[in-house]
Amino acid sequence: MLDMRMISQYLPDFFEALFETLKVAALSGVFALIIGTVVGIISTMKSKLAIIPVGIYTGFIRSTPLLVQLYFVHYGLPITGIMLTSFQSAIIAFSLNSGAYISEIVRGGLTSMDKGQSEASRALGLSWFQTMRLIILPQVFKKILPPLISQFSYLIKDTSLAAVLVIPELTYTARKIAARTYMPFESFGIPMLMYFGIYLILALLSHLIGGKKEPARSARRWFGFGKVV
Amino acid sequence: MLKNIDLDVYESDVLVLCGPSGAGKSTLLRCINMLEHYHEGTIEVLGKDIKSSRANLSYVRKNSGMVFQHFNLFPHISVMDNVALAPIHVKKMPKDQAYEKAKSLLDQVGLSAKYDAYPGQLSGGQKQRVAIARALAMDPKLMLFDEPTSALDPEMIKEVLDVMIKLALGGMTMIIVSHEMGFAREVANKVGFLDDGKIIELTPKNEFFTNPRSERTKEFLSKIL
Repeated sequence: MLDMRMISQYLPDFFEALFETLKVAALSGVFALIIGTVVGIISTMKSKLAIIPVGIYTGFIRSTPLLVQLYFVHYGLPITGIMLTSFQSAIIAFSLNSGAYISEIVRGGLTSMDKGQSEASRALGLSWFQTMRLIILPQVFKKILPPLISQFSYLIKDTSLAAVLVIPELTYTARKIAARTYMPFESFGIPMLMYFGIYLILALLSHLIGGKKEPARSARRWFGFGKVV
Repeated sequence: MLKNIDLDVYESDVLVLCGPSGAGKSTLLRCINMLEHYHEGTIEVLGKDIKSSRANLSYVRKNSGMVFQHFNLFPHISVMDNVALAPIHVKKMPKDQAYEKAKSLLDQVGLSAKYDAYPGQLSGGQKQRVAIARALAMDPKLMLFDEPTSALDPEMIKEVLDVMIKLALGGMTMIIVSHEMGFAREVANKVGFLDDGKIIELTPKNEFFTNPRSERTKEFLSKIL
């Protein structure tokens, strides 16, 4: 049933596309982490001036479809004079989208920190920035690593939407090959396995980091990352 | 919460603040390095009005040490790093020098064997001794203790008090919120009694225990001694 000749012929293309997918995901992931950390910190501040714009940003991102955000950045922004390549548009949309979700994770981590940590830091004369960098954030990131990894796995799956901007990532390539070969089973089956493979690796990673104290007992927990954001 | 506080502490004073819970002892102590904000009045520490500028507050924090009831050690770094952190990042001390200092301070509090341990691996008494070493690493001119033994098992209280006694005998200026009356008797030179946000009594130690002036103090002492 499976056409092995087709698979072996197109496998290099699929791997090239996988690399593109990972490139988009990794770049967006890094920017999203930076955005999410900054926004997460701001969202724990007391000043309304800080909280309101942050609330609008996260609220807006989380209540609109990613696909529309993607279209808006790529086709909407040029009207304001901002011209972007489809690759740039995708990175911006994914970073802003994932950043909003990550900011919530970071905020949760920050508010769960014991106040004594920052009090002890201040009493020692550390500045606010030093306290964040040396004391608070290292502990927060250790704590939120499992949900962060799971957020990153969502991001990888979301990058399939970049296909609509003709970025030669896995989903776009699959569609192209399917159209050319008329073999949709293989053409979409291979990317599926590849997405699943990445997910599995991340799930395992998350499990190894987050589940040390409490080993996973069921497949549901394992595939569900144990901790849903 | 605090009312009409008028308090002078001089160099090498060891002042123990006691009183019922909710009296404002900890709040008063935390005002001294502005972990707690106050609305009226002035607090001058080491000759600086801490509210008048950030520089003054920062000077006071760098030159005073604080020990907390719940230790507040940094759990993600080793005991040595806990002690060396502030000298390295606040005083910009060279790293090897800071670690040498950390070692000698940990030796002083009897934790030579625990340089590389993490706070989570220590007992309460050991944690509090690390916390004292951490505060001392900044060469403070003033030490603030906020119920340093209240969260400890009874058998660990002595090891912490011993360190504090050594410090007091070495001439350190100390303000201590504590219920340890035995300790107050031994090393304090002044004892303050607070109730309902007010300093009811502030007298030299001997007078405090033998001849308290206010009825409220007498009542308190009769209950705890």
